[in-house]
Order: sequence, then C-alpha cells, then structure tokens
Amino acid sequence: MRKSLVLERARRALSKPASHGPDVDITMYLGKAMRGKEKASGVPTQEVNLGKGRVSAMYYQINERIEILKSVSPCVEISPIDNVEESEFVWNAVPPDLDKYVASVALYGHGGFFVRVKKGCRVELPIQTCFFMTGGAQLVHNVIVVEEGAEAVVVTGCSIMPESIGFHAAVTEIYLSRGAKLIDVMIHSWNNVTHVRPRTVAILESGATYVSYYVNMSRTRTIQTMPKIMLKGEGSQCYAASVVLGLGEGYYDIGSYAVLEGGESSAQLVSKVVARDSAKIVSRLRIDAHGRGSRGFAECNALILGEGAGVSTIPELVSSTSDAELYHEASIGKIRGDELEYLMLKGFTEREAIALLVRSFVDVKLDFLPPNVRKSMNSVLELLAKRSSG
Amino acid sequence: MEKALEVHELRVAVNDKEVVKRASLELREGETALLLGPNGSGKTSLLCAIAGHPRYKVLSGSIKLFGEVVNDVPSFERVKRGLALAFQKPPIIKGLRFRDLLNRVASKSGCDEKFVKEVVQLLSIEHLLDRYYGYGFSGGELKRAEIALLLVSKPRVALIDEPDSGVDVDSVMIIASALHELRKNAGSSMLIVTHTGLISRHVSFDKLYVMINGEIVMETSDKMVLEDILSKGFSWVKKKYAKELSS
Repeated sequence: MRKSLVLERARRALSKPASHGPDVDITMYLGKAMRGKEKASGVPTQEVNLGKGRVSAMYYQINERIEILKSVSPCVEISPIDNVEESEFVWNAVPPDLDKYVASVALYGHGGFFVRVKKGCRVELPIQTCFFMTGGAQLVHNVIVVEEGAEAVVVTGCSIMPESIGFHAAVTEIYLSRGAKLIDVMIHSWNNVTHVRPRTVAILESGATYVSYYVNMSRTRTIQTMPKIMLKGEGSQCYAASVVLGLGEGYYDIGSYAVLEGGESSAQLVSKVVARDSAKIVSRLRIDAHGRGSRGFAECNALILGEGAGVSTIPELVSSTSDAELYHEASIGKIRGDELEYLMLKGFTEREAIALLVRSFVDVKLDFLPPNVRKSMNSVLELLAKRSSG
Repeated sequence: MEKALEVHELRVAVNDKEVVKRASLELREGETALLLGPNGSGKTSLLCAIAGHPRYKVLSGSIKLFGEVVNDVPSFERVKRGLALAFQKPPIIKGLRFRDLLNRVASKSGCDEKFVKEVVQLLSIEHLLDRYYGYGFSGGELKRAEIALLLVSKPRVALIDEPDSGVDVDSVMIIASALHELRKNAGSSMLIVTHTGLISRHVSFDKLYVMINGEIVMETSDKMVLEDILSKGFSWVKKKYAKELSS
C-alpha cells in the first residue's frame, strides 16, 4: 500500500474505537509521539555480542529507541521497519484504519522491526525481540516474513517500568509462505497503569504452520487483543494458546481468531485464564470455516480465584461450508476443594497447592517449542502459577 | 521402642456430623497395625483426622506424633514431622503429570533421583509418569501410584487406606512388596486400613484394631482373630463386643 494512502486512511480512523474492549483516550499519550520521529529507529552503532548459540538475531527497543538490532544468522535478515520503504508486506495484513490504536501506530509509530527468514532455512535458535518502555506511548510496527519452506522461532518480551503510566500499541504482520513454519512466543509484563493494544494478523499460504503462545501474568490497566490468523493456503495449520493471569483491577480482553479459508486447513485455539483480586477477563476465541474439509477446535477455560474477580468466555464458531468440522469447549470454575486438600495432605502448604493446581490448569501443549524455549516457557508458567497464589 | 503415633479418645466430625466417636490406638516405631471395620465405620475418617485433613474437625481427644500433640498442627507440618497418608481414592488432577507430582513430593522429603527411579521400578508405574495424575489409571495403577507417593515421602508413620480394595492379586502383591521395603529400609510404622484383610496375607502385622460405628472396639495382637473376622464377619465382633458398644 502506498505510504500516502496508509497515512490518509489512518488519519480518518484516529478516533475509531476498537470492536472490542474498553475505549481508551490515547490523545494524552500521543503528545511526544506526535512531535515527530527525530529520535526514532536508526541502526544502532554500538557493537553487541549476542553470545554463541543463544539467539539467531536480536532486537531490543527502549521507548522509541532501538538499542540492539543484529542478526548472527545468514538465514535471518533484520532491519528497522522505518528503513523499509513501501513493500508488499507492510500494511497489507493489518489495515491502517482498523481502529484508532492501529491508526496511531501508522501515523506516529516509532520503531519496530522487519524480519525476513530466507527460503528453505531452518533457523533453530530463536530470534529474540524485546520492547521496554519507561512511560508515555510506545507505538511499534513489526513485520515477520518467513519464506517458502523456512522455519523460525520468535520470542518477544514486552514490559514497562513499575508505576509508569503508559500506552503500548503494536502492529505485527506475519507472512508465512508455502510450507513455512513460525513459532511465535510473546510474554507480556505490564503494570496497573498501562493500556495495551497489540494488533496481529498472520497470513498463511499452503502447508504453512503458525504456532503462537501468549502469556500475560501482570497487572495491566487494560489490554485488548485478538490476533487474527488467516489460513489461506491448502493444508495450512495453526495452534494458538494464550495464558493470562488477571490481577489487581486489570481488564483483559484477550482472544484469538482463526479464519480457515484453505481446503483441509486446521486451527486449534486454546485460552486458559486465571482471574484473581478484582480482575475482569474476557476470553474470546473465534473460528470461521470456509475451506472444504477444514477443522477447528476452540478451548476456553477459566479459573476464578476468590471473590471479586470475573471472567467471560466467548467461544464462537462460524461456518459457510457443510464440509467443515468445528468444536468448542468452555468452562469457568474454581480450584476444587478435594484437589487442594489432597495436595495439602501430601505436604504442600495451601499456597504451594494452589500454585501447583494453577500450573496444572495452564498446562498447554508445549511440544512445538524447541527444548531450550520449552524450558523457559515452563519457568514462565511456574512463575505465573506462583503469582496466582499470592 | 518410642511411641510413633498415639490417638487417645478421639472424636471427629465432618460437616457437623460425628464420624469418629471414640478411637484410641497406639503405634510404636517400626510397628505395623491393621485397622479393620465394615464400610462406613469411620476408618478413613480416622486416618484423615490423624493426617490433619482440614474438613475433619477434632471434637475431643488427642493425636500425638512422637510424643507431641498435633491436634492443631496443619497437615503439611505433620508431613514434615514424618506422617504420610496414602489415599483410598485420590482425586484425578487434570494437567498435573504424575512425574511432576512424584518429583515434587520426593524433593520435599529430600529423596534423590535414584531412589525415585527405584520406587517407580518397584511399583511398575513407569508407563504412568507422563499421564495426568489419576487420568485413565486403572484401580490397581492408582493404588500403586499412591504407594509410590507414600514411599518417596519417606514417612516415619505411614497411614495407608485400603491398599487392597478394588485391585487384582498381582497389584496387591506389588503393593505388599513396596510396604515391606518401607518397613525394612525406612523403619516406618504403618497403620493399614482394610475391610477385606487381603493385604494381611502378604504383609505381616503386629496388632489389629477393629472399628465399628465410629468406635475402636477391639485391639489385639492375636492374629487368629483376623481369621475369625474373615470367616465369621464383623457381626461376630459386634456380638462379642455388644456390651461395650451399647454402653
């Protein structure tokens, strides 16, 4: 899309609310971002040593400034998004006028990366990316292109300084060519005065595989996200798991949306949410089936710990073909007394037993992850479980 | 031998209903006792109360572990002091892999990996390790899994609830050999609840208690009494102790 058209469409959408989630007045956050892009992006000049055998590439951004941008793999190209001129991969998957949060990224965004994993390459070490903010607005745009037959793992962490008021919006466009595979891991750690609006769309060609893990275990003022996975190609498949621990007075509207367009395409969407304190969580999963022989399963489970917290699960199945199989499962419950008592009689304290049961509850399928990332993900889920028990 | 467990004139209620009306027993270090009784006589309730189950309220009487009253001591603390309970029917915990539970219990008691492996081998439960705990386990597998958890907690006093009910003879023999190990290597005292007495064919015991209608009505070291009960039924005990029961 031409840049001028992107900007024009974005301008028109600057006050357009999102289809879900509470509406946030973002104008107070945009002041600095609107003043221009003078501090934005650029390739960092400082040389960094990424260490041997840990990552294939790294991107690290603090507020608007890129601190690290480097690839140590000949298979992975990484560059600042601001250096990428008009491209078939930029503003193609996510429309710049989707809502005001996307529009703010299109108009005032600073930073973000463009990653290309070259054809046929199997990149075993993760591409690690990190967005950290100290307050204000962080508006970023990322593009990941995995070429035909290539495979990669991207691990992203997003965080903010404690008690800093902030707004984070991130547009991520993912393109998986024929037979490509991407494992996409995202860990969020925010604070109780931050609003977060990630917008992700993945487009899969035939035989492509997209695996996504999203974990949020932090107090977050509000967050609304519903990544859309467009399975356009024949036999394309996806597994998307989100695990959320709602704390404090946070509002979390989190889900996944798969569109099965390709024949024999398949999607498994899993959501495990745990609500504590006065947190409110909306867990949405939607699968649309249009392709012949497509299959989808949406699993939406919630656990409420204590009075005051609330959860709403919304699994939705839509089909325009008689040749699709779609299922969903949803549940909201509490920690079972007999399980808790059993573990306490096995020598666990009440807190330990609750943590163990929460860890059991969020036991999503980690088999897709390479061993080192799986180990880290296990630790993250352990930590989430510990936090859930106070 | 030091007294490992002393229960004196215990009364226990669940949901305001008195389920143990009068129970006294004693277990010295390394001793094994059987606790027999018909269904619903309060045997499991007594074990739960001894283990510190939060829903089982002690109304009166005392529970002493190695000489110290533990009535108000929480269950995890009793485990720390050497008490462990193997459940008759543990809950199925979806998402919790048996391997994970076994390792966590083992790490609490300081068991090393080698010992855990030996226990797994002894109880033939390797194929269960990566399953969710209890999920799709047969009756015998569930009992063996519970006994494995008991062994890796290295208890000084083991409370074992119905290890021989609803399982095949092979499983009873495997469980019995594990209990032998527990007694031989760890020197544990054991209180084994049974209503069939089947386990007694494979595990020797020092004494026998009979519980009826929430009361322990008989204590004996005469092993022939077990044969009488098994051949004549608990009604024989009831008749024999009718006087005490009615008083």
